[in-house]
Amino acid sequence: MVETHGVALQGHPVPEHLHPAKRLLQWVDGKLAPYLYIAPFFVLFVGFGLFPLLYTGYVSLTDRDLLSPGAETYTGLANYRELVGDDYFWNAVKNTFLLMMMCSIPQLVLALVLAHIIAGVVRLRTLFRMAVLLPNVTSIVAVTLIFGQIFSRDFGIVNWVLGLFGVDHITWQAGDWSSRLAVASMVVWRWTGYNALIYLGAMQAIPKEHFEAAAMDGAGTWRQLWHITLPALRPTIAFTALVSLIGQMQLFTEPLLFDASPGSVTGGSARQFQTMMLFMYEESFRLGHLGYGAAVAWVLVLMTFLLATIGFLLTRRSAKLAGATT
Amino acid sequence: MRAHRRHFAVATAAVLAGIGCGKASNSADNAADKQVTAQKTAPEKPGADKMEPAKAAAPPPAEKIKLTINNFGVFGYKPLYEEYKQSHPNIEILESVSEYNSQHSNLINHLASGGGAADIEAVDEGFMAQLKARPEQFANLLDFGAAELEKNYPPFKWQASISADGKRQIGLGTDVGGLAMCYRTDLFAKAKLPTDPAEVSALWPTWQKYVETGIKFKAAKTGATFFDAATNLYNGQVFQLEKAYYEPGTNQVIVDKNPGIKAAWDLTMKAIDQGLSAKLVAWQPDWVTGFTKGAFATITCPAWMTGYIKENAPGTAGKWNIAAVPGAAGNWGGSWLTIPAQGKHQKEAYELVAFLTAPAQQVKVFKAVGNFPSAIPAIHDPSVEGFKNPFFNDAPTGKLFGESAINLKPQFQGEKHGPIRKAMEDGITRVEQGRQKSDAAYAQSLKDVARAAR
Repeated sequence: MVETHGVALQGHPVPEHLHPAKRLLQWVDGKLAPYLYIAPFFVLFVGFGLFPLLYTGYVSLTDRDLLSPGAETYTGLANYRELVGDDYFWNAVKNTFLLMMMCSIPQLVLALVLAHIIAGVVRLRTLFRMAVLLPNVTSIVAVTLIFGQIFSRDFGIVNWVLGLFGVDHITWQAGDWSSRLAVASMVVWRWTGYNALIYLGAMQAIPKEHFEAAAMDGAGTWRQLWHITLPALRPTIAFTALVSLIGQMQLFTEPLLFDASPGSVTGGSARQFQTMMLFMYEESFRLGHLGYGAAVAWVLVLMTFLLATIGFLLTRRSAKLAGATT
Repeated sequence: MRAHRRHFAVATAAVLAGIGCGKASNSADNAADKQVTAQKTAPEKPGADKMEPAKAAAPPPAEKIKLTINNFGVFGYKPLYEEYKQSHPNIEILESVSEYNSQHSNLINHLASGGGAADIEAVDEGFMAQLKARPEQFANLLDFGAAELEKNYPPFKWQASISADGKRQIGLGTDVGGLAMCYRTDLFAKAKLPTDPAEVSALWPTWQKYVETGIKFKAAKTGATFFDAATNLYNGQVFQLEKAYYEPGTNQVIVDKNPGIKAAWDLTMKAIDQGLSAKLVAWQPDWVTGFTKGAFATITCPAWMTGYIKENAPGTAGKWNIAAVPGAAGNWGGSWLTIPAQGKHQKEAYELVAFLTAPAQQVKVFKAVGNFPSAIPAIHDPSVEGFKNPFFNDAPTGKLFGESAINLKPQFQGEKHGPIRKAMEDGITRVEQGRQKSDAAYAQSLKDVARAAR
């Protein structure tokens, strides 16, 4: 039975003899109220989600300059055509997807391991749960500044440790892979705990009997992880993977602040870690090409949408595989 | 104000906060706003004619005016506001201080969206070229009589904030970053180079000589490099060119046909080849530590850099001295106060700006917080001109920085000056990082310049 209040009323038509004011009240209560209840979300969404999205779409079809609003002319798809032939745009797309993989995969694997360990902890469990979330609530700016120190060339701890093994000092910002590795490490550090908590929550929904039975049969803790926890968590893993991938599409702050020269939005001297968001920011706000930047933003929206759709389809499939029926 | 506030962080904060906390208060007393111009004729003449405010039973609330001012870093204006209110009891001043990058990105967002800017906005040299290319976004201060102040400023300072056609002045200068060369006397002594400032200045009348000195320094094997970063050497030269990235007065980019730029690039490459650079990047942790450890022997020093060194490497007191910058003169950083055109109290804002930037006030600010004055009378004030910096072996910094600012030839900077400079700097960094050879880096930088200017 999923009848709402309104639907139920339809079954019992309002008696004719009721006072008009009462009828109005009935109507408000029965028909309008449900819409009012959900209205706040939609009003906010239209104001702060849909309108900016559509307006950006319009701007992307013009040659709008940042500081001369109103002086733009309609240029059709010119921005998008230029985008297709823009090497720096494709470089940013490539970096975004590379970083997406470098951030998401280690992050989810580590989160799973972490969750499994915490699930086995008996004492101080709440403390551990809170502790893993700590990186996530730390200011992202602070995180990046600290990592900047950790990865600094002459006096950074990473180079110091590598130096113990005879490795020469690395200028982390300079290289293609070294810089991406450093950026990815910040993201992984920040989001692993968050995902671990989600896994932990899902793990607790797994019936204890399964583990007991497995233990009885002599399965060790890692075997339990592999054969019981993992299959049961499949929908959760798909969900976190999707959220993490979409999150990485918007990677911005870490590469921005990791760049050696302050305020630089090119992601390194050769754009080795410039993401799509950084590229959009550079075009819109540094170079003032707001129209072009808006086109980048829309391509980003479309790519995210595509990714979400693929993710959704996979999630549904894996949910079916896991036999989850909710 | 001080370019070292050019900190990493808050560019982002500003971006994420988006429109941020708008100065919506402007419109609060909107009823009064409209009349401001109309009032001019009636009781409100500019000066100090507010002698009898208490008497006239109801000086209508319309007369109470709230001016907002946004700046960054340390402008040191707090005591000046109090002083101003003494003579202008109807003015209320609300100051909001942010960090270098967020100040400018907020301002640009507010200009782009047509609302939210303060009545008075501070703008640093790093963003001035971009903003003055859209002079219609700002009040033309010449309309308020700013022309008579031109004689107060070194030509480069006055022209840096004037529109390309010379008809609109959008800002009045606050401070400058006159250039000098800071050097470590202990390292120079170790390398058997002179340590007396006059003799050191004589070592490098030109940038070529500066690099030659560097080669000698390097040969002495002190364990330190000659300078911190190759981009500083490059920029120091480019600052002094009369023509840099733009054909003066036009929107035409001339980087690829300007021999001055190529010469600056080539000399920079020579210095990199000779291993004179510590390959550091300003404001990175390694760079800051480099001061303490004496990792480099010289650094291009704008006035505000002296404060930065003192703050970050207090243990090096007495090991530094300051010589003249190679070439003629230079400037790095320094700010203006501007009045966005969207403001509703432009006339009152102008009066406050004129007060805050007047030579007398610049001297007060210099004494209080050390920002180097941009007005010539202030530069010649005995307390400025005679200032000696104890941290730097009593170097006569007042005179050095003052001369550098006054002698600097004005350079026309077009709209994309900032991004173009960044494209060139990135090329130098690519060579320093070993990613590219000089020729390839130069070619790519030229491509990036063309792209930035498109």
